[in-house]
Amino acid sequence: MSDNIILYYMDAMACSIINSSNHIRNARCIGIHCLNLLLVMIVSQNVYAQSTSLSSPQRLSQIISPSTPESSLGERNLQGLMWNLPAELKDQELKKAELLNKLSTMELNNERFPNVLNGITKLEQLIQQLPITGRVLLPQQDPRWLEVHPTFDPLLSSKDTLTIPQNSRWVTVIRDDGRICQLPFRSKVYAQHYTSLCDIKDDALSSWAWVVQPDGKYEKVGLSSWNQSTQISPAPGSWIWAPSSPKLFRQTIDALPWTAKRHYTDDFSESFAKFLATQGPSDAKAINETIKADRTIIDSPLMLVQSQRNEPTDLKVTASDWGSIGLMQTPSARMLPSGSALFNYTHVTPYTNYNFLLQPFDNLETTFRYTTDTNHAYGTSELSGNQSYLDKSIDLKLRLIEENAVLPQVAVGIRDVTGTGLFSGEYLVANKRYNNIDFSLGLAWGYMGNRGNIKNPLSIFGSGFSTRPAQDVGQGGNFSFGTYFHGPTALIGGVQYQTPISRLSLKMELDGNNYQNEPFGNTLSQRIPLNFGAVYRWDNANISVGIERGNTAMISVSFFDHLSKLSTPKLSEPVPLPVSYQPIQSPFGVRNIDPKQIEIQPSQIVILNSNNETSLNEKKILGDQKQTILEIDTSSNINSKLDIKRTSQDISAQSGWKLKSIQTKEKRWIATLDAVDGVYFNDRIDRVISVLHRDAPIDITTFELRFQNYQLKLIKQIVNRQAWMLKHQQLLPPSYVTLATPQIDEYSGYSPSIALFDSKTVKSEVVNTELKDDILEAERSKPWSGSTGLGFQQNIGGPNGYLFAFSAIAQGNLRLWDGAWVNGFLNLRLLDNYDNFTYDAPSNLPRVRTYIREYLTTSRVTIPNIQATQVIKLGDSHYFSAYGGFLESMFGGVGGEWLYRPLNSSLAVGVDINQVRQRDFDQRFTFQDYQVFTGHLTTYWQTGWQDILVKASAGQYLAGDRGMTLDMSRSFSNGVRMGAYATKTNVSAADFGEGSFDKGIYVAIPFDAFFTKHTAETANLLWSPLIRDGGAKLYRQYPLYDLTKMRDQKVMQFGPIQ
Amino acid sequence: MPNFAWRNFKIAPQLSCGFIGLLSILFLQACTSASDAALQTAKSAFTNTSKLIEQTSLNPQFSYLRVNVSGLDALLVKGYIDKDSNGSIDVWYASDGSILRLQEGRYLGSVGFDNNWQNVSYQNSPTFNKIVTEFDRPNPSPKLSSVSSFYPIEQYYFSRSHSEMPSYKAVLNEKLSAIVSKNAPSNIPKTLKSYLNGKSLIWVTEQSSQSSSEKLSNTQSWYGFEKLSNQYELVIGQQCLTTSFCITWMPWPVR
Repeated sequence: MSDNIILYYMDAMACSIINSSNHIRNARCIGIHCLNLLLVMIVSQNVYAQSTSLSSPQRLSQIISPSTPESSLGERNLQGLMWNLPAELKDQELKKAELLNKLSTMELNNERFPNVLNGITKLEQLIQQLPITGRVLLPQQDPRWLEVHPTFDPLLSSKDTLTIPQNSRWVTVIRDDGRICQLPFRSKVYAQHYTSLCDIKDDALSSWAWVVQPDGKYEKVGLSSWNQSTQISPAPGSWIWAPSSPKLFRQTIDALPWTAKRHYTDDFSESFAKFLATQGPSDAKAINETIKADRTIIDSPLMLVQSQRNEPTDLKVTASDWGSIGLMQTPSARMLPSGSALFNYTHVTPYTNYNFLLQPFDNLETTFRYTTDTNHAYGTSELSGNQSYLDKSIDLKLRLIEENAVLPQVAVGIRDVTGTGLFSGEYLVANKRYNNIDFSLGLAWGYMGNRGNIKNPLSIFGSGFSTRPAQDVGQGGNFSFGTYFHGPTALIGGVQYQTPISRLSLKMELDGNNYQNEPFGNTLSQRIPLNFGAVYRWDNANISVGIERGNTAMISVSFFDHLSKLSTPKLSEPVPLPVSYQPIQSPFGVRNIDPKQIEIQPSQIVILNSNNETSLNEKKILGDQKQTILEIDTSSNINSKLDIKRTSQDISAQSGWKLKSIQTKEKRWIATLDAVDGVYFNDRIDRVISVLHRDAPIDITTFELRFQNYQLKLIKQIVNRQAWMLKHQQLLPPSYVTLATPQIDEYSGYSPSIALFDSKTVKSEVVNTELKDDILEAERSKPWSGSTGLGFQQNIGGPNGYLFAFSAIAQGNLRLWDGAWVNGFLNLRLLDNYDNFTYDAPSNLPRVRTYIREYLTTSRVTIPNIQATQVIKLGDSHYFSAYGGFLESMFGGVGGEWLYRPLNSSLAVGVDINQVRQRDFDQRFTFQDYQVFTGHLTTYWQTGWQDILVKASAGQYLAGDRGMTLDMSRSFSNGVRMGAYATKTNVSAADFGEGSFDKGIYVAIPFDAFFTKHTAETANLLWSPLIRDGGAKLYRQYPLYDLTKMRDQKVMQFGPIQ
Repeated sequence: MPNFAWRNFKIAPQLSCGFIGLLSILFLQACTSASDAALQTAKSAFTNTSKLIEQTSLNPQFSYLRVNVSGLDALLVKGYIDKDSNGSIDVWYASDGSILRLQEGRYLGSVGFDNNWQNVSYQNSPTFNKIVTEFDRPNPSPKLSSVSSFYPIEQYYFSRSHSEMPSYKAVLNEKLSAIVSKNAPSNIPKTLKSYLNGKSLIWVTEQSSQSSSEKLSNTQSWYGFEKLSNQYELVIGQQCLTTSFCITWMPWPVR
């Protein structure tokens, strides 16, 4: 919201009541000034009564303003306010028909079950009786708040109706057999209580319900001991749709995608909840009069009072000693929500774990870890001093079954999938919750199951499962499929109890390890196989303490957050320009949606040019003159002259992008913008349009924005100016919002047969915009730019321990011509502990990466990158780049790339080729002897499933090895990306060295998610166990896939979490 | 009320400092173009809004209210005085458009904060003037109940209804009691407490009068009054909307 608040207000007005509808009872005026026009607001007793229309456009905030004498906020049920539009009826009618179709399909699937069939038929009849209202949901109903948030304040036209229901005291439950159950509202009573009181048959228990509030917001809520969670409370007038759950295993079978749906799916329930949201508050009397259905009225305050004591609580999930969600030594089947990350430190003598957990999907958990073992040295004292042994490992946990009323949640996991095998283990674990207690029970193999107190159940598939082969880890980093789930097996499990102290949980577990087969032949004493712990939680952290093995203390600290929910308001950005009302025509062939223009005849319009800076840009109705004055804020609008310098400066200040030119083509303004980069594009685009809207002549109906980066043509957007303006001035109904959404189109690149502009170019700063087909060029920015900043590098997990360096970095950029520039970095190492950096990893390959110590420590002043780049787009989808120079800190040379990326396509393909030579360690201007040709063919696939992007590339790597890299990542709506990659080349595991092949896990967080100012940068945290020479790619500065990211619809949707 | 243009303080979501602070250290790599954004973010995070408010020159045409919401200070300006049968309602605006309603000094709802009450109404609530006047009399009225025979404390009973958002918890006819004393509450925000030094205040505390098993909410409000030229004036007030979310307000500038 803007810093500037301009309060719109209406003078106190008289009120008149004009209404005589027979359908309306208890009508009362809420205060609209009426002279010779009929302005009336009706308060309807129930949602099904017909309401009288308004006769001219009015802001909702004005209509329900408490300024009027007869209005009193406390007496009106504004939460149930209904704004009904005829324009929405068609869409809602379609949705109702879809609902009924779904029920018809269910009827076919249940022909053999008369009871079920009968219930579906009754529900069908009930839905048929519910009216189509055209209701548009209001995000907020407070008139004083709406006044200062005009984008949420609808402008009601004479065709709309507004209904303010009386306060309801009832909550209505709809069961899946079409029965309606009505109960009096009671504070602190939740959906589970209302539905359980409405259950007549024992077999009609519900696990889930959809609570639809009087304002139309709805939420799926858990009703049972296994799925209850913190949830919204049904307000008076709520609807609760509570389909009964299928019995026993039918629930699981019904969830299978190929199963004929005999029961109500979540998809149906979601649609039904949306439909109920259009109905307004549920009112007992209205339902009785309008709907013919079996109904139960339960008016038993005593039963409801008893329900007040049970407030639903969340299941608390906390990290185990190994980072994975679980108890202490044993993991559970529980998981964090997708998009979460967790860092955990745990110490249980002699081990210390540093765990980092990422949850890319709801059903997949990944953890990577460093474990120090104080019983064993890292290496010789010459190599690593007195540093303890450090083990690196990656875990995976996959949820197999999601908990339901019958089945427990089940997960399978592997600890240390590709590591040294010292702590390797596998498990299959199930969890079932009963209110505040979460039980877990499972089987463990390997390190976790060293107790071996039960026979391996998998031995029924062969005696080979009874023994666990000695793990030949070789260089480590390989899969050991022959050992997984083999050998001695132990029972694991325990309970987690949520105490009445909301932040405190207690844990007890049965440890599957007897600690007699610890790494390096060690043993640890264990008094009892039970571990006990307590966890105290804060919002983003918790601390755990416990006693393990009956004789050893445990302490653990965790920090966690939902990375996918990160969002920070852009407090440091300039205040967005206000969007003033202009009587803009709709583009040719597009319907006019401006209620101020629709309501009046052209002959009645008089344009009044006001110089009053405080103009409200509101239509004023002159009663007797029967004329409408559209008052234009001419203080900010230049109708005939354009100061393109000012426009350019404001666009730069608002968006950080550069205006190149503005061209007028009849009623269209074509604005070309360069340096268009970022993560959250839409906010910046709106800011650009707000400048154009301010400066464009009133007859311009369409903006065409052409986006470039480094003069590389990306996309263009077509903006319906009228719809965009209205969207930024008032709440638009859903059917209009699509008109206000910019349409993305191809921005063609250079083609000899196409003349992009055949118009005259004008370069003066202030130009008469009545000249058609002119291109106004903005002043070119200076060709060079630069910046300085701080850098930080770290190295974790090597024999020299933790290494770090702080640097000062200067960056410069010189634009040469269209699409060509020179860019460079200068790095000055300021503070580091590189005196400790002595280790050089051995290598059997050309040392293309393992000279890292030399590159980092030889010189304090380095030039990591300086290169010239040329980019160009040919035709619609072909992008090319050519570059040369010191391309990265270790290699320099020349290269080129071609990318074929059709607009909005899920597929793209590119090829890069590079001839490079190894740089000297001082990273200045000299080279070593080693040179190589490297390049890859890469395909990019937006799978459309769980927002996963797959990048597969094949080619020759820096060490001359050939192979392929597979990179999979999942993006979230705020731009956060979690992923993993692996590279396998024709280098043997022995030649590759420790780790066997290159792999890593990464998380990328756009700085837009946690800085108060827009930036295009992304924070990348890559965890790659080792730096090796095999499978090493050239770090290219400007990959075309990144430069052209605007062509991806998914990327264009990234934005702050609302 | 006239129009006003107002640019000052935002009730913005608190910048995340814990886990993300840790991550940002890990992520701080060679990104020179992000340095400016990082600097601006640090400035926002460490801006002393309390000091900023104290240094702000005020327009004498407007009335101001200093509020503390979950530890963050902001300055609000009065936008409307709405009429109501239970007394006039002051509508206060923050620069981000959040609003706070006070009726005769009592919290009557808000919109735009992390937690808000809406549709707040009081039934049979005593006026503060009556409460503090009775308390300040040499011989308090005998009709008031006493909860302690050793230290008489005036206690008033009334009820309140509200809807808590975004949880939609509606509480109807919650029985409340108001207690008057000279003892200051313990949870006065630090940034406001210093303005109460040297003042002799009468404190009115309102909380649920129902037994713990029947309590509809576990919230409390309190108000501090100072006697100035035979008039009792509200110096500070607080309403907790949940057990951990409180709004505290103070007419600004402090007399």
